[in-house]
Amino acid sequence: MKGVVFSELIRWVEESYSPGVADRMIRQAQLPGIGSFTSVGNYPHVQALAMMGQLVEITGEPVNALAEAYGYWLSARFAELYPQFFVGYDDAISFLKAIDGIHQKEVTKLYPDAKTPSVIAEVDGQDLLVSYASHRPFAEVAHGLVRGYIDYFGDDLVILRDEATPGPHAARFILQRK
Amino acid sequence: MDAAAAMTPEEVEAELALLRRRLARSEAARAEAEALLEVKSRVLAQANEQLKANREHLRIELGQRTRQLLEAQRVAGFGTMIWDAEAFKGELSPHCQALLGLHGLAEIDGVASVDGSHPMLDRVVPEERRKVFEFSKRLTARALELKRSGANNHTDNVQEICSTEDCQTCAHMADCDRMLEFRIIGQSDGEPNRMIRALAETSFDEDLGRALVFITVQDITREIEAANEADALRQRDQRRMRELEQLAVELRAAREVAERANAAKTRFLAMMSHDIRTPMNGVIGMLELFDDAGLNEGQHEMLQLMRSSGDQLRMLLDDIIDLEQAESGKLTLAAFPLEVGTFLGTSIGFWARAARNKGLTLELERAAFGYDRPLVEWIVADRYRLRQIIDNLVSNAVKYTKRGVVVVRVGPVAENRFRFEVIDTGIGIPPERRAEIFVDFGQLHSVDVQEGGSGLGLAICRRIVELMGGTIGVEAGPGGIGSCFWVELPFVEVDGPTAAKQKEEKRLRRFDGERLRVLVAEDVETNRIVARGMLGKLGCDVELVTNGEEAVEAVRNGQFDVVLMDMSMPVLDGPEATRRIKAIPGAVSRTPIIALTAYSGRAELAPMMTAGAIGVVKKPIVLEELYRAIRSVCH
Repeated sequence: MKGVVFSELIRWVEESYSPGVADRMIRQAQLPGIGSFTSVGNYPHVQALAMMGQLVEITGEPVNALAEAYGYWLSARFAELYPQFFVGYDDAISFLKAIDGIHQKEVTKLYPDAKTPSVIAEVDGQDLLVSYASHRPFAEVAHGLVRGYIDYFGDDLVILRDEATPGPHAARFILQRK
Repeated sequence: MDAAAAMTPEEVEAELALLRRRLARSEAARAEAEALLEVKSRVLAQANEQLKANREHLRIELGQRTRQLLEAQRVAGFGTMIWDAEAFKGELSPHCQALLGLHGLAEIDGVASVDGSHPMLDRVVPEERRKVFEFSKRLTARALELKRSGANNHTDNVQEICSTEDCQTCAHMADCDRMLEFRIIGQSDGEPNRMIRALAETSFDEDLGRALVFITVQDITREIEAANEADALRQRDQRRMRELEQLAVELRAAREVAERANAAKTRFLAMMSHDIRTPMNGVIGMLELFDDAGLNEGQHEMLQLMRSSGDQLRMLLDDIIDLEQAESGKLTLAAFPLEVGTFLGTSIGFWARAARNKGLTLELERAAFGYDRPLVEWIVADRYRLRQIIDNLVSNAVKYTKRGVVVVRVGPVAENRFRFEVIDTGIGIPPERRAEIFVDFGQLHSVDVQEGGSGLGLAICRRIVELMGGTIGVEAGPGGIGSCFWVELPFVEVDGPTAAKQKEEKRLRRFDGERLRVLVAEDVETNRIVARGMLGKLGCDVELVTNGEEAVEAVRNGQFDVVLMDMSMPVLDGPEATRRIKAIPGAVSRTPIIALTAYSGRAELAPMMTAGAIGVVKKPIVLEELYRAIRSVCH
């Protein structure tokens, strides 16, 4: 998995809790090295899961809430780190619709070995259906990202979860106008 | 007091340890990133080198392809121009430059660039510059429209470019609005103007963002000239065809006239023959009745000559009538039992005296012809027509052979097919003449005339043989000497009559002791006299009347054993008189009636036979035939 997910996770914990909490999380996760991550590197996703597990231990908060909060925070960071991806889109719906066809393609150009999740956005009447599927259990992070993009564009949308597709590897979000 | 001052030494130590770990992680991350960067840089440098190599390779390949393409254009006689509709400039291939007569243009890799200011249009003849200008303007507008409408970079479908209806890759070249033909000025003094055909397609190259017009140009001067020449040739051919058709019509008309004339001639000959028969009947009949007892040798010889001449004349008339019947499809065949051996012996023997008189030997041989069973004894055949064939072939052989032998060979060639050959040692027939001698009048030559033949014999034979389902031909005789005329005919075998009956047939020659009463109805006096004389020779009592009405009255009032009724008579003709006799109440209506006629065709005889006649005697009357006819109806 791309190193940016790891480096930003540590940054989020440092900012949201404290550098000490981040340090404990890294050390308790018993990672193979000293727990250093660069955004241009690649690391096994189980290391991120191990750190998230330790954060749950340290903070006592539910893992889903933590993951969703991280996703929400990450969406704003993406806008800072990769502003070019956001140019030409006026709302979250058009941006989400472009992820599968355009953004993933651009990511693959830069990182040919990247295994991007499948994110399919379809219009269904007034609603937008966003389907997430990945071999990594980051459905809650995706939820947070979608919510973050809605807020980034300032759209008046509410997110519903399709309970028929539960599980950390897949999720279906229904975006409705308020 | 700052926060550090408030911390305990342990807390300060812990904070320092935390900071050290964070620093260590940052440095490790940085080192990792720098290592990755190093790797990426090397990969990039390698990729750059590869790109350079690829680019050079592509440049070389592009150069080769361009040269090949330009060479292909030169060989095919095409030139190309690619016009950028927005930049208003174009690239011309060398052959395009040559075709348009443009010289001195700067070239890169053989391709010259021009912009809109180049006076290319000056090369076009003045009166056609306007249409060339309009053509290029229209194409430029279309290319720009393609770009505006966001068409992809595929060349537009021809149908979209061409507004001609049902344009299938522009089959309608002359009407296609993506095609233009125009003349350009000859390139040197005295060189004629040349005709150029330009074909254009528009496209939008999405990758380059260029609206383009692709134009191919071709010198079609020779093509136009060839088309004009072909058109002239076609018109000339059509004119000749019309002349030939007219000639054919005239020839058909001429042939029809000739055929009608020929048919009229044949009918005329037949009619003449019939009319000649009546006086001939008198001459021949009288000669036959003439008692030659008491004549001296000279007189006897003269009488024989007269009889022989009469016979020849009669045969000539028969030939002409046969030919007319064959031509008009009226020739028909009778079918009676025939004993082959006796028939052949009699037929061939008839010519024995003539052969002997010329010092020739005439022989009859049985042959096998590759079929080892003997020929059957009795067959069904038309005796008269079969005899006609044999007489013709044998008489010809005797006629045209000065010395040597004439051999007739007979035998089966298959189960139901027999062949006979007449082989002579005469002058022979050249191969090139063998086919024509079976054509009507085809074999007529001086010898025929000298020998007194009609020249129709073989033609009639051929028609009779074909009517019988057989074949006839001629080839050189054995050893290449003389001729071999051959005939092959199918036959049907039958059982013959009893020997007693045959004996009886041969014995009876007169109606002695019976005194048959015969009524003769005949309007021509000569014929009446001949009939009376012959019937007298046969031992009959004769009563003569001159028309049909008298005949009916005579039959009503008298007791006759047989009536000989001429067909054509004044007052009442033969058929009508026959019908009236048949209508008389009582036994006299059953008096047998024999038709007496100069016609020999069945069609002509039909009215008499339909009316009730049961036999026929042909004129000139032959005593033997008269006897047989009367005998057949009275016994």
